[in-house]
Amino acid sequence: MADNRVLEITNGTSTVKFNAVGADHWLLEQGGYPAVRYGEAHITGNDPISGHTIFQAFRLASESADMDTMRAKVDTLISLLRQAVHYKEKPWEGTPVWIKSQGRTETNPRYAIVHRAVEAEFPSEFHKPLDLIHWATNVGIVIEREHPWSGNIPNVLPSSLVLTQTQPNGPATPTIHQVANYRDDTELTHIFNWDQDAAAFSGNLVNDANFKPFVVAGSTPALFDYIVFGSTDNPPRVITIPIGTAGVFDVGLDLSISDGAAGWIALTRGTDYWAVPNTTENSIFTSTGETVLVIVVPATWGKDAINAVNAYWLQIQIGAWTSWTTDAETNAKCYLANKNYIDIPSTQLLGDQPLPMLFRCFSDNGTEGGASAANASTLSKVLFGARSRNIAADQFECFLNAGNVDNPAAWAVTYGDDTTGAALVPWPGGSAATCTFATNTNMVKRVIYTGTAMVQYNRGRFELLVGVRRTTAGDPGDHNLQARIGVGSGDDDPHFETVSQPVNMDQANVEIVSLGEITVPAADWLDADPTPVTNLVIEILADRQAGASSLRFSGIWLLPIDEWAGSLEDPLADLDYGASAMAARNTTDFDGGVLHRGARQYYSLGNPLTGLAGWDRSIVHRYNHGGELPLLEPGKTTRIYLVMMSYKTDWGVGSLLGRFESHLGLSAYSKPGYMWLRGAD
Amino acid sequence: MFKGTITLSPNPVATNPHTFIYSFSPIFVPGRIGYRALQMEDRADGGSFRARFYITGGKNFLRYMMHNSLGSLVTITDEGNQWVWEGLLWENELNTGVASYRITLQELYNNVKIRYRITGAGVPTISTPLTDAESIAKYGVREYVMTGGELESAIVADQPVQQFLNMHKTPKAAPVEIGSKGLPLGMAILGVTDRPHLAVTCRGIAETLDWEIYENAGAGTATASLQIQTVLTAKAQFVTGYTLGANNTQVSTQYETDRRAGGIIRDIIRLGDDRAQRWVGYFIQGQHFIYEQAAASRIAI
Repeated sequence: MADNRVLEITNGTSTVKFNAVGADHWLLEQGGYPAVRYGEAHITGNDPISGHTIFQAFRLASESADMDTMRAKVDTLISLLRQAVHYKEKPWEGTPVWIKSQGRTETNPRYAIVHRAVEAEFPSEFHKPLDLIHWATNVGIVIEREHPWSGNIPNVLPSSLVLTQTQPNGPATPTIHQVANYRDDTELTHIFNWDQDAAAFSGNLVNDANFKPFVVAGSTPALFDYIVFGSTDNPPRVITIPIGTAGVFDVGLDLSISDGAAGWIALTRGTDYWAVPNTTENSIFTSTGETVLVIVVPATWGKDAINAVNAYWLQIQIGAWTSWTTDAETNAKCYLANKNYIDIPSTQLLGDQPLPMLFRCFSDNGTEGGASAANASTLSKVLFGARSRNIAADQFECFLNAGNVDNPAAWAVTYGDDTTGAALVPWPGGSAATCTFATNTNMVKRVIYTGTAMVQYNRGRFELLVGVRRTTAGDPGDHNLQARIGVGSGDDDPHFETVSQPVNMDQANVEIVSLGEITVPAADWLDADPTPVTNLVIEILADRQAGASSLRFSGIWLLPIDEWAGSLEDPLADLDYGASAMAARNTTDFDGGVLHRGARQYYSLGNPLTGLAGWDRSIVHRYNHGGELPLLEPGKTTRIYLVMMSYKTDWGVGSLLGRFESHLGLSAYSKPGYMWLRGAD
Repeated sequence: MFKGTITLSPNPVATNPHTFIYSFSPIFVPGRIGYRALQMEDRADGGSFRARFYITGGKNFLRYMMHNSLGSLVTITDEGNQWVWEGLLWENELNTGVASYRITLQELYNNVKIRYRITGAGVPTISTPLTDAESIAKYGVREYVMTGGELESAIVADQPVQQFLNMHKTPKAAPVEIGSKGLPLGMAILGVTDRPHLAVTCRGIAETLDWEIYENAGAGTATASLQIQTVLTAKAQFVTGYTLGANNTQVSTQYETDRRAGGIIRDIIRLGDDRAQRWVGYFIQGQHFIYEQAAASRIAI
């Protein structure tokens, strides 16, 4: 039978075992390990202090050659216990002390930070066993440690969680997920290489996990060869290109998009697109790892026929030639990021206690508009909401498209006065709703979302957010929005209305207006109640108080806030260059206790999408956050939704925008907790 | 218990504010940085009224926060990340376990003038305000009007003004109690009052309406809504925007009695309307002022 027993106090370097003999070690006496009594606070976790510390007593014995040696043994233990207190109280002590414990047949160990020793008892030096044979007995230690036990070694970042694949063609077991600022069903449908000399296309490479960009039939790429990425549905906005073998070549690459008239529209880096993490077009293919290409979709992007396929195309062409040594090769399929969430499977959320989580946000390297101006790639606010209930397909959906496209089948979007839905290329799903206020400027319903039998899947508390944009210039407050939520029908009782909020943007940018908290259904419910298999109706009302602008709606977010909700918020520490925004090779941790508690921003010297090497931890600052620190329930598959916002151009000025090009890479880490044993977790 | 976040941001109107930026969560480990015992009060008139909480942490952190967070914008969000309270950090009281020290905005004034009469002259006059640019840049404008009786000249009148300004332009920490005995049993808070801590008091944005004096010599009347708008536009530096209901009750436009803007606004609000309906004025998130009939239909959940 295996003997996995471990009981020791350590700082990772110096260790005192409580179940071993040796210079620094002790033995547990018979009965020297009384039961640990857990109170209500430990079980419910309601009191952050009482529920997160616990006292544990040990009665130890040990032998030594003489009393001088015994003193040295005690000194090692006392030093560790003093370090435990210093870790809490002295800013210069960055290393904690922890207990590691594991039962005889327990597969994995448990860890708990030691806060302090509250009591110690040593026998008299004249006690006969100690006096005569240097055998110290009845040495008592009472330690206050953190509760619950953790599956992680303290101060050590655990492995990132393996997420569920949510993007079509995306990696099967991603540890970092590219998150979009909307949701639609647009996918990459075609990828072709073009050989200019041979006048030949490759086959469709979209489902090929190992292909060589620019290479057709084994040829060596040459001037004017290109690769095209296309979607027959809508323009591809956030394209992930995973390179497993880095190419070695020196060429000039030009990006352009199809114009719908058999021509191409050239794109400018920093204005029309940006590549994360790479700073040059070449390095998309000459560096290993994922590159995320983010395209600012213009209205002029049109469908053209390439290789007999009518699609929206992005072309990367060899526009200048110096040398070519080695072909690049992908090691996974290219895909579009078209989801505003990540999925954490239940098998990754271990333990029997609420899990502190760490969400690591990898920011874009976009430089659109210049370093001194805010833009879609410089995020100043990110909202998070978690939901584990009814997240299967065709059940709860966070983002509902106002243009009535790409929504789950149960949702239908209809329109009120002066409002219609229509195809609009730059908008998610290629569609939006427009209200002209031509006949009615009062606060009446404009966009009506009806979810047939959706109340049962949408129970909970949400923050209701509306994506809206003016079509012409005007003043903040010209328009106001409000929502009416009904069960059954929007006109039937019961229904309730949110407060009205002004639209503050002047023009040409999608603002996200929060209409506050809503509850579905409005009253409390019990699981034993008859399931309300009735329709859920959400009506967005709008008025126009002044000016002549129309409003265009992208959709609504039902951001869950009843399981866990929080936000990262730019402290606006630099109003000139926005250094504290989430952008430009920095990474922001939203940590509920995996390493720290709070939010911190780090500057990464290396690839911000992997970021684990080359961290410059000297350039780190606290970050503002709102809501509750990340905490999830164990054993439940949980979806984390994000809504990303940025300032228009001047930091801290005006409303926050919710631009479609905003994007983050997201990884998740957890600190599993155990009331008593860990077992094989 | 409340598990939301208290966030401190720079004073929104100051051009050179304290830049103590921090988001506090409830403390888990005694002695670590965090907050406990949060209390919040709202009023129908004013909105966010008071917030009080304790901050724990190392002594150096607490001392730094004590001196560098006064006047910061305080925003409180609940565990659903919904805004619940907003105001300014008004007062810090540091209890080190040996002594208590307090620093407060209560006596801060950085724009001071005096109403007096030249000896022998018949008509009272008011001096040109003396200001302290550094204090204004750090906290915003807070006005005070002294009364001087008969004085020989404007130069003489400025002397007490300057003295007063010097005494009040910069908040200073003062000892409250030396040799603290700690809180009585039953009032102690585990992990907080048994070690160094900061007792923080915050006041809602409505408090700042009393920071400036509103003057208008022109006689006349205007609607209640318009007069409130006029006062807000002139003397409400912290207000970022307003939504004013239409109240056509006629009120005076003439104010020459050194009244604070907040007092004028509250008096107008108290008039109600011509149908004897109650009206309220209060702040919501983002320092936005709302003036409307009480118990309007806007609130449902």
